[in-house]
This record gives sequence, C-alpha cells and structure tokens, in this order.
Amino acid sequence: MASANDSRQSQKDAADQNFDYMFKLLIIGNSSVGKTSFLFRYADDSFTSAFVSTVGIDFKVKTVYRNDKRVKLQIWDTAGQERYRTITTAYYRGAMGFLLMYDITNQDSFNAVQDWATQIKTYSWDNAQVILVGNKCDLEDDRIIPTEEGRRLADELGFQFFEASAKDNINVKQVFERLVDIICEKMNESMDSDPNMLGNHKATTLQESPPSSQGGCAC
Amino acid sequence: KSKKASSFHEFARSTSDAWDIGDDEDDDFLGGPTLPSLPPPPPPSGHISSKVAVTTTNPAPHFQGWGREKLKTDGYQSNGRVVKSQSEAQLSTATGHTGNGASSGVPRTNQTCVTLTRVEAASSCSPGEQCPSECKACLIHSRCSAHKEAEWLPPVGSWRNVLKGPPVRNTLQKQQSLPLRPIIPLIARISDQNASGAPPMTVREKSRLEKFRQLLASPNTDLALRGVVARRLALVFQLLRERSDLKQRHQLPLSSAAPQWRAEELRKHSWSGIPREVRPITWRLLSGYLPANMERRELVLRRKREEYFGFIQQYYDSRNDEHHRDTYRQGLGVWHSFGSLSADTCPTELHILNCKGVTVYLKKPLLLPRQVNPGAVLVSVRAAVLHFLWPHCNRTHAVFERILFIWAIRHPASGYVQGINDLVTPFFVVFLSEFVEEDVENFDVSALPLDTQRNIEADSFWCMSKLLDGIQDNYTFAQPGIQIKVKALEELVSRIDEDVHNHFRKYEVEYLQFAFRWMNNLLMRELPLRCTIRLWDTYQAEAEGFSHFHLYVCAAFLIKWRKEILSMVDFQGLLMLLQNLPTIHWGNEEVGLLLAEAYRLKYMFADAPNHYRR
Repeated sequence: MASANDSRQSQKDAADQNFDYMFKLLIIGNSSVGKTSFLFRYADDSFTSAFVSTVGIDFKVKTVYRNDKRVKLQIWDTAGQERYRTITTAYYRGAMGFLLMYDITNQDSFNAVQDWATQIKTYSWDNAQVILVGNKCDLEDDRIIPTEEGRRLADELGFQFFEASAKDNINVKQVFERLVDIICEKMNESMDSDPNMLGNHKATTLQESPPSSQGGCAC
Repeated sequence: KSKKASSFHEFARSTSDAWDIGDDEDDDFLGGPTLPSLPPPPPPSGHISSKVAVTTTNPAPHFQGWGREKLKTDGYQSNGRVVKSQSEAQLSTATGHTGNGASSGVPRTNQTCVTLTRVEAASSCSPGEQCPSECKACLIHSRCSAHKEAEWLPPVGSWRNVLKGPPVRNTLQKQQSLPLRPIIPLIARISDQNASGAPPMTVREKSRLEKFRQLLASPNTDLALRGVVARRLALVFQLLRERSDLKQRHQLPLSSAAPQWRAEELRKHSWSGIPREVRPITWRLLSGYLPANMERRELVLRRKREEYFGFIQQYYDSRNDEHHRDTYRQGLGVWHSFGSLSADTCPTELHILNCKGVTVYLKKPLLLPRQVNPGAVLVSVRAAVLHFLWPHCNRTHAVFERILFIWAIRHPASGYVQGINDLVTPFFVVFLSEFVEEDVENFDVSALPLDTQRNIEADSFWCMSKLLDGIQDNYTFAQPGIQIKVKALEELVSRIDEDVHNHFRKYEVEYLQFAFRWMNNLLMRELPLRCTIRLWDTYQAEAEGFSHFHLYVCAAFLIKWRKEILSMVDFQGLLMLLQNLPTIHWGNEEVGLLLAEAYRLKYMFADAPNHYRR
C-alpha cells in the first residue's frame, strides 16, 4: 500500500497535464506471479511480501523522461485469476504495451505464457509491444524455469525478455524503460509510414479520444 | 422471515425506538410527521452515566475528536445532573466491571452480581488510574458522557442538524441507566494497515455501546436456556424488551412474544448498529445460521459445527492421501492452464479432465464439474489467505484456508474467486472478539482452547456460506451478479446525480473501472475493517442487504465524494481518486451517515424506476 505521501505524489502525477506522450500499459500473467508488487516497486519504490490479491483491475500513473520527452505511463495492474478474465480483457483495448509476467519458481505460470500471448493477440492493438518478464529471480534456489528457457520462449513469441525481482529491485525500472523505448520506436516507425497517426494533441487527448487512443502520441 | 417496511412512515415507526426512547419531550423535537426524504435513524449511541462526574471535574481540554464533537462536548457538560439521578435509580443493578479492559470479557456474562456505588463507578474510568492502558479511550469517553443525548437521540429528520450541533434537550430522565464500564475500543483498533495509528473511536460509538451495556446488565433473564450462548441470547432479548418498554410503556406482551417477533425486533434494532458485546450472537441469528426458535439453537449449533468438521474430514484432510497426491500435484497444472483459457473457450468438465494432457483424479467427480481439483482449489486459497491481518499466525492462515477450501469445493459453480477470502474476515474477527479483548489482528488463535478455535472456525464458515448463498452470482462464470449491479449503479447515479454521471462520461471513466471491486468485495477494500463490520450489522438486518441494499450503499458512497470527483479534471486523477478513496479515518458515524443516505436512495428510487429520469 502506498503511504499518504506516495498517494499524494501519485495524485499529483495523475493530474499532471504536462506531458509529451501518454502510454497505456498493462501487466498480465497468472495469479500471484508478482504483478502488483512489480508495479508497486516501480511506481512507489516499495515492497511488501504480504499478499493482497488484486480484484478486477488496479491502476497507477507514473511520469518518466525518455529522450527529452515527458512520458506519462498509465499502468493497469490486472487480476490474474481466471474468473476476472472477462473484466480484464476489456482493458486490453488501447494498450500500447504489455508486461507479460511469469514466476521463475512456478512452472504453471510459465506454461500459461503462451495462452496469455494469445489473449494479447486476440484482444489488443496489433502494434502493442510485449515484454516477457520472469519475476522473482531473487529466489534462485527455488528456480524452476532456467533463464534460457524464458529467453527461448520470448524469441519464439517475438517478445523482449527480462528476468527481474520486485523484491530486490532488479531490472524493474529497466523493464519499464525498455518497454517505453520500444513503444517509441514502434510509434516513430508508424508515424513515418502514416503521418495521420498524429491525431491527438495534448490539450484534446482526454476530451476527444476514446480510451482506446489515450495512449496516442501528442507531439 | 423479515418483511420490509412498505413506506418510510412504517420504517420510521418501526425503527424509531432505535434512537427515540419515547420521552414526551421528544415529540416537538421530532418536528411532526416524518418526511419521505428524511434519512433513517443514525446509530443511537449515547447514554447517560455516572461518569459525568469525571467530565465535570475534568473539562475536556485536549479532546482528540473532530471539531463538531468538541463543540458539542463543550456545550453539554451541564447535563450532569441527569446522570446522577439515573445512576442512583439503577444502582442496584449495577455491573461490577471497573475498568480493566482485559477482564471485561468475563463479567459480560456475569453482569448482575456486583453492586457499585455511584462514586465507584464514576471513578472507575478516571484516566490513568485503573485503566492506564485505556486512558485515551477513557478520556474521550468521560467527556462524551456529558453530552451524549445530543449524540444518540437525534430525532427523525433532524439528525443532520444534530450533527451540526444544535441545542438538544435532555431526553433521558426516564432512561434506565447503570453505572458504566469503560469502553474497550477493540474494533477501532482493527484499523486499516495504512493507518499510522488506530483512529480514535468516535464519541457516538462509545456512548452507544455504553447504553447497550447498561441495558444488557439487567438481571431479569427469565428465559430458560442453557449454556453461554443461551445466556447471551437472553441478554439480547432482555435488551430488546427493555427498549420496547421504554418506548411503549409496557404495552407489549413481551413475555408471550413469539420467536418471530423477537427476530423482527432484533433486525430492527440491529439496523442502526449492534454493540460489540452482543454482535457475535446477533450475527449468528441474523445470518440465518442460528434458528429463530430458541429451543433448537443449541442443538443446531452443535450439529452444524459437527457437520463442518465432517467436511474437513471428507475433503480437506484427505487431500494429501497417497491416492490423492497426484491430484494435488497435477491440480496445480490444471488450475493454471485452465486459468489462462479465454472466456469463449470456457472449459467444460471434459476440458478440464483432459486439459493439456493432465489427468485429474477426482475424489468426488459428481461434486466437481468445473473448478474441480482440491489441490488446485487449495493453491488458490492458500495464496489468498496470506492476508495482511494475522501476518504471522499460521494457525489463522490454516483456519482461513480450510474455510475457503471447503466452501470452494462445495460450490463448484463459482469455486474460489479472489476476494471471497475478504468475506471471511469480518465473521472471523467478530466471533474471535467474543474471546479476545484487544489486538485481534495479531492474536494467535492457538492460544485459545481447541474447542473454541473449532467453534469460531465452523461458525465463520457457516455464516460466510449464508452470506454467499445470497450473492453467488457475483462469483460464477463472467460474474453476472456484479455486471448487473455495476450497470444498476450507473443507471442509478445517472438519476440521482447527473453532474457526477456526466463528469464520468466526459472523462471516459467507466463504472466498471472502480465499482467492480466495490461489488466484488462488498466495499471491504474501500473501508477500514471496523466500518465493514458496522456495515454488515445493517446488511444482515436488512432483507437482501448484501445483494440489493448494497447497491444503494455504493451509490451513496460514490455521491459522498462528489465534490472531490468533480474537482478532478482528467481520467487518471479520477481513477486514482476512486481507487484510493480516503476513508482511513472512518468510523461508525460515517458509516451511519452512509447507510442513512443509502436508505433514502432506496426509498426514493428502488420502486420508482423513472424517478428523476431524464
């Protein structure tokens, strides 16, 4: 849980209208692989081993600088449990990037990666970027999924790959930065090929664009 | 079976004695007939007591409560005379409790044996004397007692004014009163994890509890019952009788009252909040777990508890049997691969049995059509019970695990769904509070006798089951119950507060984005636990409280934040606000207001689908 200060800071972040881009990101993966912890580590730099399952969907905002641009990240944290699937897939629309997460100590969460990838293909924008994240890499003794296996699967699926630990703060920031970078790259490619994509301007993003295009480029 | 009041007048009449003791002086203050738009009663809370002696000699210099309470405190200290007369009149039935919080559980069932003098009672809660560990509570408490009538007797329709601090005349002369015992702010301490310290118990809560305690201390328990449960029940009904007496001047034929009548009374009084001491037994009754027929209660209780542990034996204890070990192990795979299938490929029984080539061994195949596997259920349950309450108590985790496991196994249409674990907590805490006075959230249940542990567990299971029976469509495939209620909320808000509704539309906030959790977890994630417990007093007192009234509570909850909502001018800000509403300091008073507003909304809109429709 965020402290009062954190949430005030987050509120400030959330209300901050001064940004160049806004990206909608989703974190998905099986139940208890560490999605919420990962987000808390990134957004609030906090970690707690207490487990409070996410219900439906949760939400955080963080603003970062990439290449001299202010990028506002709207990060959706989803519930991994199957029963919430109908709710959570409704949020895939308009997402520009996904963190698909598994737990390196949990074979099933890894086995499910393929299915999650199918979900992304089915429900999201074609150009959505995906990073496969093997979380809990601090638990080396309990590791079941070798790094190489993760990397191989990521290659197969055409995703970027990281192993990370929300607990020990390993690669958390890097994962998000990398995701922002590849979204930017993809966006530039698209803009080169289709200048009309530049539809959303800063002042009008929120009023006029449907949720699906909230991540649109504002430059 | 409870019947809802068909009009506000009926409701007001039927519940008026919850906050109106029937003193003639109330009448003009009531302001004539009640109006349909008036909110229902706030929690009656105050009570005159001999503690005023403390108050008057210690004018509240550092009262920690909120501004308006302070105001009222200052304004009503001169009412001490009432207190005197009350306590003198009732001295012979005084309780013997003198302020030791840790021991108050014992005298609760043995309240009539000690007589205190008024002076003793008055000094029993002097800050820092006999109850040093509770001195903060005592301080607040002793101050509040002087103006309690202002707090607990707001007449119908005027309680908003009361909260603003209008003059309120003393209405308690005829009130039966007993020397009080100190208040242990047990529930207020089960605070949200985020709280830096436990929020102080509100004045209203404390004085209300006091009133109930005094009434409960009556020696007149002529109901022939056996056992602790029976004795407590007798106290509950004694309380009801006394309150009715006060209101109706002995007109009701109480001694011949049927159990049904008593159940109705119980509901009526519970609507505005149940005192902590009698909450466990009252919840067991209201949930339908205990039958209204008193003679059957002990028997039913014993049988149900045995039945629960029969389930444990049948399903849970056998989960590691040699024969089922495969089930357990394989189940993990099934659970997770199954969990990742999309909605359109919702697995049937066959899918599951052959999912990814994993063979599932089912012990009770007929019982388990969907979320089949005990091992799988256990895994999901196990993750859920690592809750922030009792973080270090393995025994408590085990209790939750068994309860959820058995429920999920026996309800294959929904199975275990994240969030159901939350619904056990209030029952567990309330039933535990019968035996533990403080620090419930860190209490190690293994310190209790085994029988007690088992009873708490079984009772929590059955009461949770009863609750879930009424809302199971919240947790079945695609969660239709929740989807319907979120839509209903949207529709309702569009009628009751167009500004908020249009604001959401303008910034593309969907109700599902915040209200899903409100429905799925019955607002438990939005409120401190103590507030949930208070909320459930009413939900259990109200017919279809969890399944229907909750909708109006959610609407009232949303509108409560209209100012904050309208001040947010972007999507992110709105969503951040709605997912982190600042209720950390909330107590009974806020919940009481919320429920009153919800009742008003329900009254005005539930049967009037076109009211205010544009």
